[in-house]
Amino acid sequence: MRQLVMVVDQTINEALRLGTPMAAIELMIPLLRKYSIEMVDVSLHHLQRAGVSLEQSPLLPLLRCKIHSSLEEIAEARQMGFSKIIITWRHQPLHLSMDQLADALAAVQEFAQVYVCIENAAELSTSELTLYWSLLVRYQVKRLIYQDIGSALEPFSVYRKLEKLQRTIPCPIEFHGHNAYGLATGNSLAALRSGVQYVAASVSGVGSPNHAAMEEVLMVVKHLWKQEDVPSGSSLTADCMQILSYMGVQLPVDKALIGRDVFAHESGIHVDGITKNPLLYEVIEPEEVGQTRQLVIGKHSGTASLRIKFLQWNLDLNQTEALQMLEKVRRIASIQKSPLSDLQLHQLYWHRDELQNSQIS
Amino acid sequence: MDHKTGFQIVDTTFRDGEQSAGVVFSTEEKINMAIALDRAGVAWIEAGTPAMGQEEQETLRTLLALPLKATLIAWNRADLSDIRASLSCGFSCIHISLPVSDLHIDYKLKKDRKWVINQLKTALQLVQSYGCDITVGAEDTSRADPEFFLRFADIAAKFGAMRIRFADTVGCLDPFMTFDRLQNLVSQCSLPIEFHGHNDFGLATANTLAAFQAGAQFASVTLAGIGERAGNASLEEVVASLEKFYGYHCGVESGALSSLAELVEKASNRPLFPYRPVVGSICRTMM
Repeated sequence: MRQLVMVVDQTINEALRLGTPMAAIELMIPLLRKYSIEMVDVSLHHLQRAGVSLEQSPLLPLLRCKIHSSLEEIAEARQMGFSKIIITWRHQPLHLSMDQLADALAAVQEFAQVYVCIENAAELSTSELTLYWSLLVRYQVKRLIYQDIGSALEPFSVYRKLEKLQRTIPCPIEFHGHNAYGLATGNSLAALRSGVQYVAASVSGVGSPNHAAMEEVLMVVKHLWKQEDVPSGSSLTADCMQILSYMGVQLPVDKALIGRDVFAHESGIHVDGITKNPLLYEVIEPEEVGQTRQLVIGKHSGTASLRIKFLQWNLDLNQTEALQMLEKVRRIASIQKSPLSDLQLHQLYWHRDELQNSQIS
Repeated sequence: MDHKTGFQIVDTTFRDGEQSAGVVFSTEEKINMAIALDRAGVAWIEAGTPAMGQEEQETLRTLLALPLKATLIAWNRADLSDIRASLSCGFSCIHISLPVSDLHIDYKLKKDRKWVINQLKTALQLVQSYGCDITVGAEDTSRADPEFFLRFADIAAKFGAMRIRFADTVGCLDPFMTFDRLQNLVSQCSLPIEFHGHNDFGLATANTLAAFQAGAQFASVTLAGIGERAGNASLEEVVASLEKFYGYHCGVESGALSSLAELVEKASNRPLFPYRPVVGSICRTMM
């Protein structure tokens, strides 16, 4: 039995970067919390730039503040009332002194739970990373955040590296991947497979740099790995769309799982198959992620699609009529470079006798 | 992991890409994209399905008349009239597709494995008699019995097919499953394997790379990952990743990736997501 997957949210941090108002962020957080979100990362830099004050905010216990190792930043985060702090660190092979990190850890330990994020961890060897183990113990670091800031890893190397590190590391690892090459979801899954429980992710992978998509990681674990304890996705699409709309981000129609058109079928072969058994061309039921199946009539439709579409309106179309109409449908779709609207289809249907008698033009 | 045999890109933007619900490319857009793909070094372009009708056939004839180095491939069901339509367009490289999973054979075709094998033989006989190059697609391989896939590939090999497509038709694999399946098949398959991945869980690129590591020799991809539902493995991500992670140059110029994605962005009227890997505006400023 695998352990429960926990997500550390990166969506809110991107919302802050984009200047999303705090009132909207407060509405986004309850939506996110439906999805195994353990914590929400916010960077001190974005908070300061946005002029956000969190004093007495009920959100504070959920937030984890990302800072560098300077004492000024630590003091600022302390003043804001954070009880969880990430110290972000870049390992520099030629500059081996860790005094600055140790001082920062000591200062944070006085008032908050402390996490260390090595942003270039993915580019380091096991022996370089092992140099940090004693600090993790001495300052009771809650977790080491293994960041891949440069998208330097692919899934198999993530698995190998993390599996090896977990044999000796004195605290749990959290994986924080990025998506410059389209591998962040695969990399996060590799981390989970290696035994890591915590992964960074954001709705549809937003972030600068971008991240693994939360909905993809969770739904793979739920549906491909059959882990039942992942929360239901029955309102996943609506929740993600709502979150992105607060941020002013427009989602691509083909975004995996939550895009508008990912359960829309147009090609004749697919529509014919879907009607016989949806499993033929759908990996999960659309309702599993809060979507519905759509049948689109356009350039790639076949006669079966047309007949099925009209049957949905209780209108009968025989095979000869369907064939004649299909020719017209394909021509219209090609000219307008888009599928046919329901109105256009109705017009074709009610004028189908004229179609039969006239040359299609 | 032996890459000596090579790994090549097969672009299916015009076929599986255009099958994306609501997308229509004009002939002119296809010409521009075909020229751009060819210039960028893509050696194989799945150009479309001639069986779709006269208008499509006219477009395909226009594409065939272009002075391209790339080989244009016609996609066909294993149906004699489909194949005749491709031959009459003038294609000399023909792709024949049949499902291999029992799910597809039972529910979609309402036939059995024996029928599939016979249909494949009949279709291949016709294509072979015209002296065409042949590629064969095994739809829904990821949910099929591997033994049947291998038998299907054996028949294809007997009729001179160049390669066999392993299609993860509904995108139900993760990279580790992909690697295990492919590694197992590569050593037993009588033909080189082409991996065709869908992005239903956002794993198409990762799965394509896993197939590469397992010894597949071809990757079926589309520009900007456009395709059925959540799309296919994207050409840009696969090409850039091969270079970044394995230092492998598959023959496609990485400098051309952004302009290629922009061509499909315009033709499909689907703006590129700023957070999109490789070609999204945020990624481009960070790389």
